[in-house]
Amino acid sequence: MQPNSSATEIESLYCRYGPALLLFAAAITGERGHAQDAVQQVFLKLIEDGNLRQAADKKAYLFACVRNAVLNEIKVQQRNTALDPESAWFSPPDRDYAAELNLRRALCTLPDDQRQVLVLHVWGELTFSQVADLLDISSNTAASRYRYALNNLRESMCAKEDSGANSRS
Amino acid sequence: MPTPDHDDQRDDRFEAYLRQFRPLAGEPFPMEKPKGATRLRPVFVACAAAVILCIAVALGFHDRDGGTQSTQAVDVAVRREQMVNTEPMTIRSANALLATAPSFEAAIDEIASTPQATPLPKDKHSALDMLSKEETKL
Repeated sequence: MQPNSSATEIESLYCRYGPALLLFAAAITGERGHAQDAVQQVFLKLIEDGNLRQAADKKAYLFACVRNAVLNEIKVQQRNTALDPESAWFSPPDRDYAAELNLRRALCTLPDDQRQVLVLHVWGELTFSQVADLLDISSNTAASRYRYALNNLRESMCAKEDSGANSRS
Repeated sequence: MPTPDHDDQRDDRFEAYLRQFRPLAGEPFPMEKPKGATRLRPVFVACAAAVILCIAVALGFHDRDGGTQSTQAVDVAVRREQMVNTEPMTIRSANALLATAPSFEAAIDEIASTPQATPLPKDKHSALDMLSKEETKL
């Protein structure tokens, strides 16, 4: 029996947006185990319920579903999330795994609201308007948080690179 | 103090740098859909029921047609028996047979195969005889 068109579409969406959704979930939970569970729960529920057809913006809808699933699971545990040092979040350019670790650590130092906006805009490729709808904030707030997140991330990464260089020298 | 434009360019460059880090894919999506399969079952049941209904309706029509034909055949046979037993073939009885026969050809066949059990009275003429005596003008 062939999978129905809905399941095929959902599988295709999983392949397309899965990595960014997983990163977004990990940015909230702080580790990939629960993030992976949450993302898969969302997609399995979509197959069961078939609610995806009602969504006008499927990508934004998926990010919203993942966010709700993660928040439902971890409830209050949003701030000061522990970094999972074992699993990488990114495939770094030029196999620069030190840079990947640096980025991951820097991301985890960001306030949760800034980290979410940054991940949604950079890797989720959502517009500020979509981010605003998703997080229930204004577009200006989303853009402002993004600007703060970029600055904070850059400073954090530079500081760690500098400290790493100083410790090596 | 850097200008806003300079800040924007710096942000764009940093954003481009960040985008070089590609999010890692998770585990393969488990395509087990037990509930999906259950949801399909009523569809198959409905299709099967529809097919059975269609077949039943078709058979019903077929039987009805067959019944009509057989009823007509019985009527013709009864009529023929009556003709054989009671009176010889006349134009009136031939018309009656034509009216009850399923088709013109069947009526002709019946008329042709009807035996003349009783001889005609002298004041009556056989329709077949009259027709056979008529000169056909081509």
